[in-house]
Amino acid sequence: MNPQFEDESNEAAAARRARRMRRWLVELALGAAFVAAIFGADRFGAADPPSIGLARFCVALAVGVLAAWFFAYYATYRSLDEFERANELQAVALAGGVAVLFAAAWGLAEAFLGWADFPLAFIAPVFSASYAIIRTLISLRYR
Amino acid sequence: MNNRLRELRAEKGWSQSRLAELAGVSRQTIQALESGKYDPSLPLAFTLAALFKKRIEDIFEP
Repeated sequence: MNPQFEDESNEAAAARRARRMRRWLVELALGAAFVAAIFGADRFGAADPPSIGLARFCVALAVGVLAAWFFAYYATYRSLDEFERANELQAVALAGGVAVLFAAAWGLAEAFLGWADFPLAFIAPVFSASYAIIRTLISLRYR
Repeated sequence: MNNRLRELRAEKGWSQSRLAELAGVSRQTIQALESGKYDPSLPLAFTLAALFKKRIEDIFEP
């Protein structure tokens, strides 16, 4: 084995893949729960008569899931080294920019072009999707 | 910033994973350092210098 180019052992690579998969699954589950809760709140709140109790539960669930998402991410962030943190900050900053751009563009189109209403709550999934794409692109740069 | 990390690591016979483990960082961080795509913080530079028993300026140069 040439130590100049040898990368990582099978065990280390497997552990890294498992960590990444676990993180991805947790984020996917939280994202799905968030979207489901919002659709639930929309359905129960708009029912005739409105099931206000169920709608409140769904809103609380969505907020709770979002908070869990945030804390899970923060816990992950704290476990990273300086290089990984720098990449995370870059990805979060760029994803934030994309989400703001998306919201502003849609808002303008909604106000002046008659586009459909875009619930502000859906900014979270938009941000998350942008972040996932940008983070992957950043990772590819350092492979 | 240029550095001699890859060369020094080869002299020690360490893999990137081994150096990463000793320095307390990820293998990707070592890879990024060696390829010159990332410059380390001062604490990490000191850690690496200590691992190779060199001065920082013997490893990194502007």
